Amino acid sequence: MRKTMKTTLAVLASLAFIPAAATADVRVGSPFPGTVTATTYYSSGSFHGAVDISSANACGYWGVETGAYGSFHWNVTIRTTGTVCYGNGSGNQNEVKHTFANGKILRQWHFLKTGASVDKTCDRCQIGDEGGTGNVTGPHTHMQVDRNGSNLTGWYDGTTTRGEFLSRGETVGNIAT
Amino acid sequence: MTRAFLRMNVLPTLTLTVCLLAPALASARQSASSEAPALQPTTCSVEGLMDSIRRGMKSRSEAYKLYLRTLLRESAVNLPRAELQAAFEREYDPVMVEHLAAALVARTERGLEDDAFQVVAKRALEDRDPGLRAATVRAMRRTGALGRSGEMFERLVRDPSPEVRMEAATNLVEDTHYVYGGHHGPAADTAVSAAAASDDPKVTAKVLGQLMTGEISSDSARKLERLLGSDSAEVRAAASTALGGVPVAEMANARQSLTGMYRDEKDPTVRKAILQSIARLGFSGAVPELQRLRAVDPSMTSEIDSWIRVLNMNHQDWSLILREKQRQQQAR
Repeated sequence: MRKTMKTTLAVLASLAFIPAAATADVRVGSPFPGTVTATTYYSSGSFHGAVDISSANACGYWGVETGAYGSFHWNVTIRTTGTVCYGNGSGNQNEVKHTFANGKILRQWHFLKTGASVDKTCDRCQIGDEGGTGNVTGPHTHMQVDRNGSNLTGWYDGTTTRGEFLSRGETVGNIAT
Repeated sequence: MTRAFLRMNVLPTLTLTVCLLAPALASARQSASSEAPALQPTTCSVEGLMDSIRRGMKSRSEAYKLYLRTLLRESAVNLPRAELQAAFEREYDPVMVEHLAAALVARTERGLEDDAFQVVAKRALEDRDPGLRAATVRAMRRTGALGRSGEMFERLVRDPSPEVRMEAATNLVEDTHYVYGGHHGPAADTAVSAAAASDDPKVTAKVLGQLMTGEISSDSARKLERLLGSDSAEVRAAASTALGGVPVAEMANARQSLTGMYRDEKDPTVRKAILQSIARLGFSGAVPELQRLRAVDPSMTSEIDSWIRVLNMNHQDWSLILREKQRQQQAR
């Protein structure tokens, strides 16, 4: 019942607001259904500067999509070919990234390599399976925007909060390009 | 709570809502009854969606039209491919052709059939009506078309219709900038090849004047150098601008070509473009070269001095240098 209400109100909200939201920003959606487990700071208090989304240890179950809405060229770097769910050390994460014309880079880390893990130009396409490659304690996707080596937080700050559940494609943030 | 609703991925739900309600609401409007219309469930179809869009296109709100375009593109993955393609092939209204073409391209972009894009590309190249060719070209804008069919662009920029040629030029500029972020060598190379293949100086100038050339190949750099000899001043100026942004490995050749050309060039607009590119290629290291060029044309002395002043500030970023130059120009 609650879900039905939420969907109905969302349709009404979309009728009112989507036309007004026609900006140059690039919307970024969740790559699969999952819970936001970290944003600007870890629960320990140390800086993270990105959004982590996890589907409760469903390693290899969910297909990971590129998050940005619209057609973009994606560059894939595979550093780990096997199935790794709980980390295999810093620097070994699989990565997909798009570099915008203004120098901002959207990166997604930690997925497992599949046949889809190749450079491509597409709109929200499959890039691998949810995994835990690199420096992690469990399977998730790390979504990061950086420029000149510094992580940016404004693209999701105020939109996404730790602990909330996001369905596939639900907005994580907006990148000004 | 409101924020949560705004952020939900609501388009698929909304699509379904429109598909389900639109025909019923339409028929209800036709009846003059004062009773509330009874909503009738019906099958979601391409035609039903197209009717909604046709009606919506009469709206004076550009935002609403944009919303409808987005709605159709998002719905494309859930609509029957054969029905969508058939609607596209029998449509002759340029506005609707553009929408249907964009929906077909969206299927390819979202990872469905590769050949949905080819259907659109074929019509862009072969339709008899230049207005429809232009509409299908617009439908491919800001997609992966450049990577899928570079050869198509070389044909489009030679289209008999100037409208089609300019739409193709716009696609080349916007695709390389927005889809490839200006950082993808093969995409920029395709754009340079298409620009060089066009006989329309406006097309060549439009593409080269706005292209980010930081990742182009040596072959493309040579093409740009050859275009410095064009009969059209517009093309020479655009090629000069494009050469200002070439990769490190091409910088020495570009500087040499531009400096050599400056001495023989007569058009002041082209000369200004050359000076800007020499500044961009050398930053503060270009100052001695610019000082040598002061003697070539006295009418350009103030422009050269302006560049020298800005470069001597030793900014390390081209956008800052350019902004400072523009600021000085406005202060004059």
